[in-house]
Amino acid sequence: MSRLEDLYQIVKAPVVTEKATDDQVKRNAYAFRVPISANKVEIRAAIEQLFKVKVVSVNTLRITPKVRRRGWVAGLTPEWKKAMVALREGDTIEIL
Amino acid sequence: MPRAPDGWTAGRAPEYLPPLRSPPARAADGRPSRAGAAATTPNVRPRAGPSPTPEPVQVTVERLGPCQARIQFTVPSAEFQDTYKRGLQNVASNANMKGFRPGKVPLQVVEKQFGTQLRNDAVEHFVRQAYDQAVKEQGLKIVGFQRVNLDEVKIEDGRDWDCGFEVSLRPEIELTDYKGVAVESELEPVMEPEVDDAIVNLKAQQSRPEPAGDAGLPADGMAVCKVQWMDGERVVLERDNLRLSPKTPTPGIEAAAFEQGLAGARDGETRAIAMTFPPDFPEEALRGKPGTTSIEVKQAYRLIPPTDEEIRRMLNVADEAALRAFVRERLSEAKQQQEDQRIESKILEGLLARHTIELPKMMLDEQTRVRLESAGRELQQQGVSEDKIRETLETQRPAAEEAAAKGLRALFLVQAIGEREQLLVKREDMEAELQQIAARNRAQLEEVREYYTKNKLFDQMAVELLERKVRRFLRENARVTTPA
Repeated sequence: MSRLEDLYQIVKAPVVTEKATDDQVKRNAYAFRVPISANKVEIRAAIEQLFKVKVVSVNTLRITPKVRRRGWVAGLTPEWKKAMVALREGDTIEIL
Repeated sequence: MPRAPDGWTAGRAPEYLPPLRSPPARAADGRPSRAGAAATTPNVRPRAGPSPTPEPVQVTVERLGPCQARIQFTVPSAEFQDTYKRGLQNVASNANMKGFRPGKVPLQVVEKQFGTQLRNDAVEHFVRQAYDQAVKEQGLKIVGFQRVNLDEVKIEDGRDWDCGFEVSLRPEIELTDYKGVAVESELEPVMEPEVDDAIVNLKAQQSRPEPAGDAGLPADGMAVCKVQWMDGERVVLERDNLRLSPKTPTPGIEAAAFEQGLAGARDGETRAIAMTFPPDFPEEALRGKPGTTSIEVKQAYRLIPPTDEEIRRMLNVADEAALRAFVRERLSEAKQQQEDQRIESKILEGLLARHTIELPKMMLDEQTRVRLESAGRELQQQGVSEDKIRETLETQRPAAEEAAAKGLRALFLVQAIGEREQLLVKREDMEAELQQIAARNRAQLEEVREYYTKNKLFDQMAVELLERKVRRFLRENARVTTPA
């Protein structure tokens, strides 16, 4: 896996929230939206190659779909996977 | 609404009117800087608000000429950082971004997203401060200023930075002999034939249309027509429901030929009149070529003037003598008004010739540019090609410069006299003018006010009112003599 578009198939978007920013400050960890099928090894490799940084750890979690109702019709929000990638001290990623 | 002399529109309001705005700074692409106007977050108002107690920046004013100065200022690094951070905090506390609770957006996120705009905003704040300080400390009478390119301001962390901009100053005018100017009156009494003509015109204006019937359209009648301009069999342009009179030809036809061609036409009849396509015809290839104007008369009318009795009733006068007296009085008023304007213009012209007024070059250039741009737009609307417009404007430049200089000299002279004689334009004057405009246009006062606010026309109105006051003052203080 080395082509840029392949890497971006893994790292879909940064997650910019209060919690993610807090994590960034506290343990130099950045949050990304990744495909549900992506595993930690792939995520680590993608982040290291894309941003030229050293990944210390990867934590992932699946955001479960939530019921959303519009009148009579009920549906589910999409399921997605979040990866929190902690970097070596001194490494940074320009997210915005 | 009376028109201010040419080139006054961009003139600044006199300083005793609402205060001059501080110089708006400008981004590199020429757009006025609106720090924080980020498209992504409409809920954010990132304005680096002025410091609660503004610390003075170091301002130096260098005179570059009688009407030109350069304001140079130095901003301490700490001061700038303070203002910038205040702006960040202000945004952070008001920001409403997805993923963050209201007011909980971290400063670094705000900085990443709005940093550049907030920096520009902070620079703009200091430009404003320097401007205000220069006006206050040095008593500058600024009438124009150079835009500050915010992107060119170099700011390094921990270092004081400086910036400067040029301003145009109001010229000092030594007023002499503007009171008691001798002018000869050219007012003529209203003559009987003028009263006769006025009554005839009044009747023509009050005529009512009646279907012309089988007699067809009379030469002094009016018709509702469908007009087609044709190149051979091809219809080039078509207009429906036009009101035409045989006395008023359509473009490209001579008056006599038009009258002859249209007079006598009955309802439903179509007349074809030979024409030459005019030089401003939309289709460029046809200009100057022969063509045909086809006029279909939908409804022909003859105009029935009101009877003497009806006219008298309309004007609420008892008899013929009273009608004549009424008309004579109106004519006399109109003549007096015309004469007043002539006298005022003559006095002003004389004063302009007597006073030497140095003009700020920056302002003169700006005024010339505005005039040429306006002329260019008119030519563009007439369908003139870009090259031709450029060429024409280049030939018009000296005339535009002269007109701009004349307008500016008149503006400064009027301001100087107004100031000397304390002819202030007050809020009540503006209010009264707004009411008059509303009444003239049959509009609501609030509508007119909104229009003026939206188009920023109050400065222009103030200048016009001041000019009117000064002109009246000059006339009332002149020695108007009647020729023997």
